[in-house]
Amino acid sequence: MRKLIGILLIGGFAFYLITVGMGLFSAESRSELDSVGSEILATSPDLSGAANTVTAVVVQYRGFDTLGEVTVLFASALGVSMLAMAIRDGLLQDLFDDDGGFVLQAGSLALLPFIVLVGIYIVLHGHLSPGGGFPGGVIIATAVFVVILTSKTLSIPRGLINVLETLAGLGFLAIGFVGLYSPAQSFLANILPKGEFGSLLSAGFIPVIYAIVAIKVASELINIISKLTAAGSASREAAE
Amino acid sequence: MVSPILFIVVPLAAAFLTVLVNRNAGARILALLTGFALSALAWFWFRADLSTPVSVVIAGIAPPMGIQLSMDRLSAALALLISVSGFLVILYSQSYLKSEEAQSKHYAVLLLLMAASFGILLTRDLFNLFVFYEILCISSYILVASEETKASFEASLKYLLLGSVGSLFMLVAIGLAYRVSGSLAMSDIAQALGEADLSYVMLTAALFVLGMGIEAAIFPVNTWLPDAHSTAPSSISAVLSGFVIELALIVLLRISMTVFSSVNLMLPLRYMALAGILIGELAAFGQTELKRTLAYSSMGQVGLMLFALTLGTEAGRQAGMAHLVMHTGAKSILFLIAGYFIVRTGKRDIKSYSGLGRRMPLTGVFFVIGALSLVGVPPLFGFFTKFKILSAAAVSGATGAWLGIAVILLGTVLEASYLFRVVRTLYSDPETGNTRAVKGRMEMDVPALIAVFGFTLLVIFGSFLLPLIPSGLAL
Repeated sequence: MRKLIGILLIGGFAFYLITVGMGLFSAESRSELDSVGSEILATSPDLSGAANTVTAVVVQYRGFDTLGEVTVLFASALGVSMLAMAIRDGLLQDLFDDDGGFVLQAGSLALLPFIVLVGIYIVLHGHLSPGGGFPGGVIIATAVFVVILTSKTLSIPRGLINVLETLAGLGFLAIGFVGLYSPAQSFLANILPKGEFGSLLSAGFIPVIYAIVAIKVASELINIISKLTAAGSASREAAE
Repeated sequence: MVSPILFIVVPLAAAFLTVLVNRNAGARILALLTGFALSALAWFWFRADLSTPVSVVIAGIAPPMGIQLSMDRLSAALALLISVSGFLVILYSQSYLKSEEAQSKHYAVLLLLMAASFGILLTRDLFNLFVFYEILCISSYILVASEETKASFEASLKYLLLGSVGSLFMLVAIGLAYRVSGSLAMSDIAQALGEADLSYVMLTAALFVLGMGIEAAIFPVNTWLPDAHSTAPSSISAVLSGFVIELALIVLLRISMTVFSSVNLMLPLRYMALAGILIGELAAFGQTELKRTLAYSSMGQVGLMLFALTLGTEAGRQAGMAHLVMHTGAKSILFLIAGYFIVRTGKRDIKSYSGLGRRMPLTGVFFVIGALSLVGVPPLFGFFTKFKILSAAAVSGATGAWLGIAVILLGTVLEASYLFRVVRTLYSDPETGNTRAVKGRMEMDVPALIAVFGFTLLVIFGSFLLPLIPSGLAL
């Protein structure tokens, strides 16, 4: 098994070197103007109303892939929370055993609202500037993680977070259904008014979807952290 | 309007909801209802007129910019197979899963696996295929590890390593395809690759086939299968062996025949199939644990389907598809019953099951029927499908067809000997008294019996379905 993976990796790398070095397997690449990218650049302002074309691609042109990516994260989070309880060998003990001391604890609590604020800003401006639901959600989760790292006293309202996570997931699908049963008759069609191009309230459903994605990402990551913390304290108790 | 998109959205929504359900009963009922709704939906599409495939675009943006899904006769038939066997497995899990465990997450992951299965079946966009492939892989890793034993963690890790390498291969292949086509829609890529340099297409195709082939358990990249399918909970083994590898195989072949049609992949795939049959059946013959035997047998059976599907004739494709349906039924029966053997005796090796056939009369009969059909004994479904494969090979005139017939016959002999060995043990006198030591009811619980009975009906009467099984592998 290990040998097979080794052979696959080495073989792949050798293949890569040969390909690059000798210019084998070269094929005519489509010119920039010929590919789908130029069509998207041309149609994006009218179709999506988003000033950030990358966001338009992620949420609208390939919104179905984004739903899939959210599901990948959901599945991974489920997997971690199903399997975290099996960690019994004190793997996480060091991480959660330390009491960070008063300065770090107070400092992390003071930082919490500001980190969350930055996260929300990044989420809400996803259709205007780089950022959006995924990085924004991670930043919001980071705020909680910093507090957990410095003290073990933070109690996480797990029930509320689970509800938020489910509602966000169902909300994404519900927006898709609105499109399906609207005159556009297409799943995830952007039927909301586009607003003034470049303003905060523009781009139709894109900010809504990004807010939903952020809630889902943040609640899933916070869930993972709290599960690992619980596993960490369980293994600590087992060690004692 | 009933949109094909419901196949993906309904199980996804159910999975999101299931996590919230704390009580096991609620999660079970929700999963069961979802399975039933999907079966009804699939029946609707199976009965619908699909002489021209029904396409839907996402977000109202047509390809090449957007994503398109398409429902054709093959997809409808496979969707029916997936949803019905998913429903029966959920029914089986009602009594099989241990009641003290938190089951909601287990059902949620199973529903995600089903959503991803429908996704890779319906999508006509290469990157969208990759996304659903990832969901399929991740949920499989989780389900394989879900018994939380050392062996299942090891199997899951092995699967995860190979699967990750496979996804990387696929991603590189998609990148190479995008480079020449400037589009991710399968039909555009097929056109662009048709005009591209042959060696370039070969490279792309090889990377794609190896990547996707890991999930389809094709010969050189199937080393994860015996561990994963034998250490997973039996309901999950039935799902993984019953439709996941077959589905990956069909998607792989559909893309090989359409997108990579300018290179002849059929010949190498045919020889890989024969190697898979030989190695799978020989290894299965040497096993002492029932579930490992069945897992290795799946390896051989996938080879058998791949051989038939790559013969290059219409008869071959029909035979391969029919055998796929038969294998879903037969292997599900055997794995589901093996699960109860383990629950009732607490042991995994075949020799501990001596006399079980008499103590579990109904279960024993179902097991024998499943085993006979897998071997290909008339008048069961398996006889017709194997016979069709052999006769298709004989008239195909394809390279290696006669070698294939010899290998299949040898495989059948091996298969018969190891499966009959199990059956003989089931009906022999218990020597060591280990089955007598078990108190209480031995027969499977009612939901499990009904589920296995459903698969048994398929295996007995499947030959009447033969004219309904489509074989067109078009985009």
